[in-house]
Amino acid sequence: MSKKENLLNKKLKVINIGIETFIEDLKKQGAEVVHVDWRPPAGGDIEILKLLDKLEEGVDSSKRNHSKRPTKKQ
Amino acid sequence: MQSQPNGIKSQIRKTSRSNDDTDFCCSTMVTSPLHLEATSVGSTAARSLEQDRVGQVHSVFTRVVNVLTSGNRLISVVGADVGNGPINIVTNLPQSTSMASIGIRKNDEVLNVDGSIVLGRNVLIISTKNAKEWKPQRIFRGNLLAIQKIRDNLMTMKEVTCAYGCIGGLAQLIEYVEEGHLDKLAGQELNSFAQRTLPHLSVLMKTIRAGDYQDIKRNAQELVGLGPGLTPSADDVLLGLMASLTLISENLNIFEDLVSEVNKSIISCIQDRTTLISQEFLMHAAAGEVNEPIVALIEKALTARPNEVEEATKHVLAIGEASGTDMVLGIFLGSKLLLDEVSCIGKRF
Amino acid sequence: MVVRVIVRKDTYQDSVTLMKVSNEASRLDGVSQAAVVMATPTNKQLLKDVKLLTDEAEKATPNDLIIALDAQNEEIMKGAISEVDKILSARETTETEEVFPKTLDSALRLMPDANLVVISVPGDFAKREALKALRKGLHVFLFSSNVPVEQEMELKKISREEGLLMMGPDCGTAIINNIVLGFGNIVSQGSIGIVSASGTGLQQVSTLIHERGLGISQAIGTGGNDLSGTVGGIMMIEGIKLLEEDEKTQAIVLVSKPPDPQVSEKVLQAANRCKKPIVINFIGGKVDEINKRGFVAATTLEDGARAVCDLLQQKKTRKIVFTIPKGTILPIVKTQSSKLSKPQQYVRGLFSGGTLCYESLVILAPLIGDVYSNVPLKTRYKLENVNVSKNHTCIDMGTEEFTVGRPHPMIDFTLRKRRIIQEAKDPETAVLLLDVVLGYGSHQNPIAELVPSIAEAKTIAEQNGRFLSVVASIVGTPEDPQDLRKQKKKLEEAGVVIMPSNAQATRMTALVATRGAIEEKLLG
Repeated sequence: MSKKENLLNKKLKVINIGIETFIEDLKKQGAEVVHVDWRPPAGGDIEILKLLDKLEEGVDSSKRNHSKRPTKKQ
Repeated sequence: MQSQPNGIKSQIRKTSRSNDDTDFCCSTMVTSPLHLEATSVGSTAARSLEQDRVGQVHSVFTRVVNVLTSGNRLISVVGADVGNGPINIVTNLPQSTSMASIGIRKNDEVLNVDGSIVLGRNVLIISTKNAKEWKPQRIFRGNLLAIQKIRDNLMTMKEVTCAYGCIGGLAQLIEYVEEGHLDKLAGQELNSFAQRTLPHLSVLMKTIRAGDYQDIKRNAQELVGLGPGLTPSADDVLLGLMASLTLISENLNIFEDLVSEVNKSIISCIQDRTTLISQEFLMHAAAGEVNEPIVALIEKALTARPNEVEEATKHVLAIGEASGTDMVLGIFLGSKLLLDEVSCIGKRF
Repeated sequence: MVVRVIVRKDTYQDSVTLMKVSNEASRLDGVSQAAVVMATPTNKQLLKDVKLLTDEAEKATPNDLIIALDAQNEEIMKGAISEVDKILSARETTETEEVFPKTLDSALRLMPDANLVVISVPGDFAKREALKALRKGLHVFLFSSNVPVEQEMELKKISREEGLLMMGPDCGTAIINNIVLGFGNIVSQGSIGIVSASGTGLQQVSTLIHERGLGISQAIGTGGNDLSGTVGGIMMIEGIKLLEEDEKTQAIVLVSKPPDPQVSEKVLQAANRCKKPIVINFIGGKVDEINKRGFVAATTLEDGARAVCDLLQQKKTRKIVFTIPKGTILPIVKTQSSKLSKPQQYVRGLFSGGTLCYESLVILAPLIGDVYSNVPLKTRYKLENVNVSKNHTCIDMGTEEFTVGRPHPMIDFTLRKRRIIQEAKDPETAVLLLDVVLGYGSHQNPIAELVPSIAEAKTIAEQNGRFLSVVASIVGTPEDPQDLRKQKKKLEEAGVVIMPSNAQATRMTALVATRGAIEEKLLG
């Protein structure tokens, strides 16, 4: 369970994707935060998005088949 | 069923923008406008809402969106914490939400449609159905205090400002302002703006006392637009000054004509000498129309107990960054001036 | 001495930002002067006098911003300008510039040791973003709702495989390492772990634990659909395992509405395998059956909190009716109900927390009979028109029909205030039941909104020869930003009966509405 080890009882290092309201509250409580100014990908076109996803999934799974699991974030 | 704020999630959507904006998400994105309700509309703002086309967005801040009207004036859509004011449309924007995050952009069209103000293309819709018209209150409620008590209140105002205010700009002058002592500050540790402003402010107060309208205009001209801030520091002082002169003279029935001329002199030189926003505020102040917290402070200084004056001062201090503090300096100067005049004449309350 | 003056045309920055730029720039080593002002004639004159005015700046007009810098050398000047740019673009609200990373990948370049991703994008895009995060080995707090359960199941299967947390979708609350994610209250750190499918449920339980003087190790939100048939309780089960392994956790409480039997069984089995003491808090669930299987069970959030505290302290637990002595309760009931006029019969509950509404429905049913709602326990009692109450009614004001395009009732009181007045005008309304939820994310000052409306409501009743009773509970701790004591004080001054928990407030409401007739049933 080493992945869970890197979260519990450690400093929170957060990437915030979406509403900005959360950022200040997190920082106030001592978390480090990087905000992502998110825009819908593919110009928000859901159809194109689905195609993109399929492509990415194909790449992902072939990556996984050809190598070990991605290195765990410590 | 999760009992969580789904409503906020409906706010999570990006602006629907025209295809001219290539950097932004396209209009096929599902967006629903944010609906807010206006709880009150200032009297000047109300007039601007009488036409179908209100204007366009001038600037967007955390709790304020300014709209440039067809008449080249400004009105503001604000959160409740900003408070009522002649040009304010007060809404129920949640305290934690920033106007800047809703998706309103500069130059977005602002229209009046069926009892709602619509900003941008389907971005923000403000219903004014239940909004009350807010007229700046000019008559003080409560009984006038004896002169000494009013002086004590002004001292409280000063102490609270020194303790809680943003003394960085001009407001550091308040620490030393006693009768006629403005001149003596020349040797003190003042920042460059305060140094610059001091002689003009000092002379301005003298010329007001003397009723010398040409000189008033000349000195005001040296002050308008001076200082840091979107509403320049000196402007905020002038705002507080004019507001206190106007409201106090009206309520005490003293020097009304004089004050009116003083204000006119000050206002006559602001055109193109300061930011549009500041211009708008100054014009209203000259007419005795200012935001609620400012009226409240002036009123409390003349009618209420010190602890109420303290609260009221803190509310004004909270305006903007240093704006509020500079305004309190102006209120202090104006109040003291009239008080001194009254004492001289020996008028009794 | 290098002087550079930057002019930004037609630029409006709020004074906070302008001051920040000015302060930060002046503070830099080697910068002798930094002025950030609007280009008014008087400011330009000032700059001229201190030799900080260039030709370009001279041409600027009052609505333009001038940043004038005087630095020792070119290099320091470059540094100063980039510092200024950084601050201004971060705050630029009239244009968007490339300041924040636009994707997870670029964010990871800025923070390679990130361990949690908080996602609140529209439901359509949520799975995609969450999946990316999981693939990067990051834990996820997924606030977004309207994500199909099938997608949720996929995400949770993957997170389970990877040993990562997938809190959500539709998860609004969690407390990790004593930090509130989303909505939530400031509570002490301690040794009680929570796994909850309910946001306000988590809030009520954690605040009551805090009140008892104990604390929370971790509070894991699973999202509202975790215990659905499709998802099968994956996150709740993983949460149990995680808390079991966590050194700091010594007792666990699971919070949820009762899941359907299949999922319930899975959860109970996982609880069975757990070596740490565990409380099953299925609100309104079949306590006896669960007890028979050897578990400690509770049917109200307050009982759940109490049970897990007692478990930790190895005390015997019992259900709470009231934590205030009967001798105090009964006079309150008498005072409130004696002024009611004859037609005033009904309870009207107006809730910002859905689970609190649910809990109240559960508690009220055996006491005063079935209650109408927009989210009733029995379909027969669904309100025809959610905007009009019927008989006893409890409304969850956080559901879609009230919140599409509007802020949620925890942060905006407009609709609730209106409804309070509406109920006051109804001659059959006897008691109003309210929840006031404090903490991060909630309204900054609920009393500023509620007190005037309650005052108006009571006046309306009075003017019509009635008395409107108002009972409420406050979910919060003294550490919350809203000043709990002040909130309580002002509400009480306005005549509101404040009870220590939603459960107790609900029971009090029933007592008042029935003029104490159910006293025996309740208090024995």
